[in-house]
Amino acid sequence: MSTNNLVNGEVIVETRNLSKVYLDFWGRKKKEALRALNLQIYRGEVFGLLGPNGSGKTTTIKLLLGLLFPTEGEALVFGRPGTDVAKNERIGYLPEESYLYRFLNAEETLDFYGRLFNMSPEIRKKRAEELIEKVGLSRDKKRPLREYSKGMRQRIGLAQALINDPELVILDEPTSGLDPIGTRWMKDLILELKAQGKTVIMCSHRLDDVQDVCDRIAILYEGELKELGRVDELLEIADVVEMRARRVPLTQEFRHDLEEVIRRHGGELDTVQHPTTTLEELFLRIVKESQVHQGRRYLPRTERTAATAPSAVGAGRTEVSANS
Amino acid sequence: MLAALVIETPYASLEHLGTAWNNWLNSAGVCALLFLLVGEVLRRTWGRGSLVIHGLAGNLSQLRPEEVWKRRSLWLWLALIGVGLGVALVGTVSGRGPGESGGTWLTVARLGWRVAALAAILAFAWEFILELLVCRWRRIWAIARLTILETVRQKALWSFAVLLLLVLVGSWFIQVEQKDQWRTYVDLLYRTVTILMVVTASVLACFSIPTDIRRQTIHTQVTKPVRRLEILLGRMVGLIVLMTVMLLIIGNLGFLYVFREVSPLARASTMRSRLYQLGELHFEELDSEGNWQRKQTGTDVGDEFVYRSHIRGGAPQEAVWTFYRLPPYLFDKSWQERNRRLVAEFMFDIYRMTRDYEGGGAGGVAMVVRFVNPRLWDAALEADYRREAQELRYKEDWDEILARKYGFYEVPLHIADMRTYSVDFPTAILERLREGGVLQVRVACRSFGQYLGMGPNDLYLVVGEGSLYLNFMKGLIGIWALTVMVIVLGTCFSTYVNALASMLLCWALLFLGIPQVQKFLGELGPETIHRMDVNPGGGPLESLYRLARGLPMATPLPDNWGIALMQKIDTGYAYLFRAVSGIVPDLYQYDRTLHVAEGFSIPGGELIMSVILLAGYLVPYILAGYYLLNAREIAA
Repeated sequence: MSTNNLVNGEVIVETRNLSKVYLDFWGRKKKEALRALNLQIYRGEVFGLLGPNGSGKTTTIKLLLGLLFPTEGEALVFGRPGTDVAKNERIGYLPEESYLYRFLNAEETLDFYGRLFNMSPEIRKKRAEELIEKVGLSRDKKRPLREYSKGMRQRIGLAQALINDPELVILDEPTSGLDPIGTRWMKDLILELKAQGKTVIMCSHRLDDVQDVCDRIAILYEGELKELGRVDELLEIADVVEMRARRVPLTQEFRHDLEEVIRRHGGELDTVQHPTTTLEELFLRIVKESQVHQGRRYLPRTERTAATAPSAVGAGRTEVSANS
Repeated sequence: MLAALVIETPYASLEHLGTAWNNWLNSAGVCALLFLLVGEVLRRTWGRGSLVIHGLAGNLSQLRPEEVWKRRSLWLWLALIGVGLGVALVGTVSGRGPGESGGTWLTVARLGWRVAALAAILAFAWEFILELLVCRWRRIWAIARLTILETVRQKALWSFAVLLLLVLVGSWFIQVEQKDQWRTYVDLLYRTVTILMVVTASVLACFSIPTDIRRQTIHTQVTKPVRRLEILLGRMVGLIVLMTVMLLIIGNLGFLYVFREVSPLARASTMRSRLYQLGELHFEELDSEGNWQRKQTGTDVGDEFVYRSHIRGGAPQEAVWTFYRLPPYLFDKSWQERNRRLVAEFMFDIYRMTRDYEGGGAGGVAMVVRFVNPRLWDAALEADYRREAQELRYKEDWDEILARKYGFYEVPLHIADMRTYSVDFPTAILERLREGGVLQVRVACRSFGQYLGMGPNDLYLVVGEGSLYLNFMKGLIGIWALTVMVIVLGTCFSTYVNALASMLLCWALLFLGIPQVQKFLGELGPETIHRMDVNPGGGPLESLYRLARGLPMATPLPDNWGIALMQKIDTGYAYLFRAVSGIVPDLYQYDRTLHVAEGFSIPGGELIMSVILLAGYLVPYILAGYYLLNAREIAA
């Protein structure tokens, strides 16, 4: 979705001069958690709230959900104040720690939250089965949540957030504490939600996750909005051109030719190198291959056969960057 | 073997519904007005009044345009408060003037106040009422079910195993005579169950919501379309259902246990459930002109125990119980044919003036009990009655014939101090009561120099026998009511303060609710605050004045306008105290151990009334709990 489309789209969440001051018992100011925040989040986008600990991300989310009351300003969701209960019919919320009832099992958990949406028993059962399947907990659905790992709890947490097929999904640190596989799964799911036309708001301090899935981000620091915009626009380095070419030998001659072309266009060659994959990609590939080839184990580089290398992402590719 | 029913303060029955409603309206009305006033003052001065009074500045200020009527209707109640208070003021001021119209004005004032009180309650509860209308049972039951599962799976009910242990081994340590077995075991069981239920309920209720908030599990609830009222009600319903089931299980096991423990010989005489009928007591005395004069009390013998009043032996003085309402089946001909005799039981105090007689047996105090239908019987007929009794004395049913004809039957006997006696009388005496009239039981003391003391419940008619099991279960309703009270109080307190503080508050209220403390609180009312014999030293201002001036409690105060004003303020304080003291529960209404242990069937009307009183008592707390939870920042 382009910026123009978003701007012209339906506003789902809006904050107007939203401020939150925590007071002590005597009504004295303890901490100013949020200062005059103005935001608009549009239908269908994945919006990231970024910032270090204590920057006001979670406070903003809690204000939107009515868990906190604004000191000043307004937090509107679907045009209604955060404290309005009716708006929750269209919202799914995954808290940071997936605070669920640990004495319930996955089925009971989803049944309980389904009841809170006043769903009929048939719909609850159908929806719970679908979601348990979707989050990959079919084999563990009868185990109480206290026996679940962090990743499994996060999965069932997400399932409860989706029980009502919400239009707006709010995720507080969705990848915190997850292993790379869990993180990738979560990011894929966020992109799937986006593809279904849902609006997603996530807050995180894991920048790579935000970069991977968010259309727009807001960066908060000490309760103030410091930056707001599309991720690709904000991250663009305007005076550098990057290109990729396949099956080009990285020889001295190629480098000279390239330098010549770039110089002719008034620029200068910065680097010419093979690109590297991300650690996440490498890890996931190894895990995937290990699942296919059960007996596979680590071999020193000298003993490896040539057959293991070509599938690496980025292999045989050359990356060039030039400053203009 | 069983004692008489000694009830100093009568239990509230359905006849008291009107009085109870007026008292509730006064208390709740004053509290609602205070909350409205304080809330508005806080809102205007501190900007935080909305926390106290949501009705004016809370959720109702965030309405959609099509729902604005909700806020507007609130102003209707506020207008009614103004009008009601205005009328009450005008009525009170006008009613003070001389003339016959004073009473009418005071009635108008009372009416005005009731309108204002009701409107204040509605204004305060308006948001709650509107919220209640949109609550969904499925959501409430979901939270209730969660509460039950949580309690069961976290093994919070293991405390009941202690009871089981206590009951199982308890009888090893209790040595009781056969005649006391039922009484002792019932008493022990009821008190143990009461303590266990109340303690468990208070812990579960006070920790339920705070734990949810501390563990942040409540976040996933309040971010669903769940109203906070549904959370509050869900928690309460869950605990009430759970504790009710536990009480039923324990009650039934307990009944089986007691039944097994009581020896078969003692069962017939002690395990009973007598349906009893109380009468209204007054005293009559022959004056110097030979007319019977009606009095509310008998002779004062200077006994400290004021419950009983005395009649003098050998003097023309009688205690009279009038039975205005008897069960309709007593007048049924076929019933009377099946039951030829009816029993009256009584127990009197003997205030002795000589050392003789008190031992009981043949040497006991002589007295006579007379059963009279005043429409048929007249003292002038006594000679005819005795003559006819002589003539018919060889007939088996002579007493029935005479009772039917004269509406009179008498039983002379000797009694000992504080011992239960029963006398029977022919049901034939009731036959002519169908035409109208009432049954009177007249008691006279025949021993010169002795006094017989009696209270209203010292004599009653045994009009049937109820189901023992049912009565045992009815007794448990008292414990159930107490448990429900603790659950509601604990849950409501815990919406704003932490679990331990909630429990302390809960227990403090229960302590204030025990009959002895209630009696003391009652003495601080406007009628008694200035009475030297009840409340020496006066109200708070007067006490402060006496302290400052070093005046003893009994010293009369100077007669000037300052003292008069001070006492007026004290009286005002007493009215306020009376209204606000409604926040303290009346635990007396829920203790039915005496009935079950002594073998008296608990009247159904009293049971229903105790549940109505419970509901009336708890409604303001549920309101407060809802507003407090609504005003709370869950994630703060």
